[in-house]
Amino acid sequence: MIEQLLRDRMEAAVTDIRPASRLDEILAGPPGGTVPPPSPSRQPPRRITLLAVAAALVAVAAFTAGWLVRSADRDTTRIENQPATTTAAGSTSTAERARVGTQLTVLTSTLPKGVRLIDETPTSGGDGFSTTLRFAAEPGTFTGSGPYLRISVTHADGFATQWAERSTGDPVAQVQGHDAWRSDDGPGIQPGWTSLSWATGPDELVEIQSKGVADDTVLAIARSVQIHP
Amino acid sequence: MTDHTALPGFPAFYDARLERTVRQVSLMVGSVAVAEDIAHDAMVQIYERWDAIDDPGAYLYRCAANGALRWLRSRDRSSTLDDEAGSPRLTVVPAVEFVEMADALGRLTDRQRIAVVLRYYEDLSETEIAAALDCRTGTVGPLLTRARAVLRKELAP
Repeated sequence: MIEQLLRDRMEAAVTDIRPASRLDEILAGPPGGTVPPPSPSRQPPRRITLLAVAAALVAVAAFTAGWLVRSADRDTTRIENQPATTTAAGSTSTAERARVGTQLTVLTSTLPKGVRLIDETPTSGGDGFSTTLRFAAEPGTFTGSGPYLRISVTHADGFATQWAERSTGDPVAQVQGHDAWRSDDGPGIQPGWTSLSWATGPDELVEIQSKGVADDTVLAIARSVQIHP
Repeated sequence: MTDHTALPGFPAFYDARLERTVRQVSLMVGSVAVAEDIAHDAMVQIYERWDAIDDPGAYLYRCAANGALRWLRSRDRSSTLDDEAGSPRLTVVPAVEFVEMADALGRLTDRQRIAVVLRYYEDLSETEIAAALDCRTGTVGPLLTRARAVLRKELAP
């Protein structure tokens, strides 16, 4: 029955959505007593906008799910995408499958104690693809105090070049020979989270968002990231 | 103007309903980030009128549906991307199931989307959906019928 199918599919679709409470914001009540509605005119920093464009491009098109492969006898966490489970946007067929994403290696000894890989989401769209890994001590909402990590790699033609051209300020470090920028107050970053990002080439950008993780630790993690096309 | 001290009952209502409301609106608009903003605005509206509202649950459905409809009617490509960029969930990539469902719901008209989410996610009656959409009860049935026909094809295994 379509009714039951709809109920099941909707419930499954949103079961991982766990919004952060903004009750304090409401109770505090800004002047005038109302909170401005979401505005399309909000202008995030260019670099964040660029990241958002890429994220949206890959998100709105075909999505794929990968299997996680963890190596038990090595000191690295190796993520290898398996054939996808969904196809291009607009199709619900699962007959045609395509490989997307990339392989990552992260040195587990650099992770904060108890933190482990929670999930991986490879995505692809007409203009590129990305892979996002989430790390935490326990699966959950990622809305607590951490430590949390999200490592994402995005590929799109010219994407990293554009990102570098629009980055402002000075790089905070070198990651594997590439300039890396840190930001913690952009509109694309959750309160309390910090972003460290660097381009590995004209078409590839890596970003680590973290919460409750020391900058030095994030940098060590960043320097351990290996990408295998 | 509202006295901005916690009105009795509102915090509990907020805690009990926020997550479900964000999930519901996410299905309506196809974006968790936008849904968080719409749900927040709906909660603000309720807080401002807390003492005067007889049924805050029903009012929340109406505020959320109105917010979703407004957004769906005004959206364009650039504003969608800006809203996503402004969201704290920028790099939280949606689950595969969410994208597939949002894609299927995207085949519907705006009012069909709202109606079908309220019916099959929130399990509201046609009368309750009509109240949320501010339309006649008799309008809801045909909306759902057409929506089911589209989704049956979209979600066919």
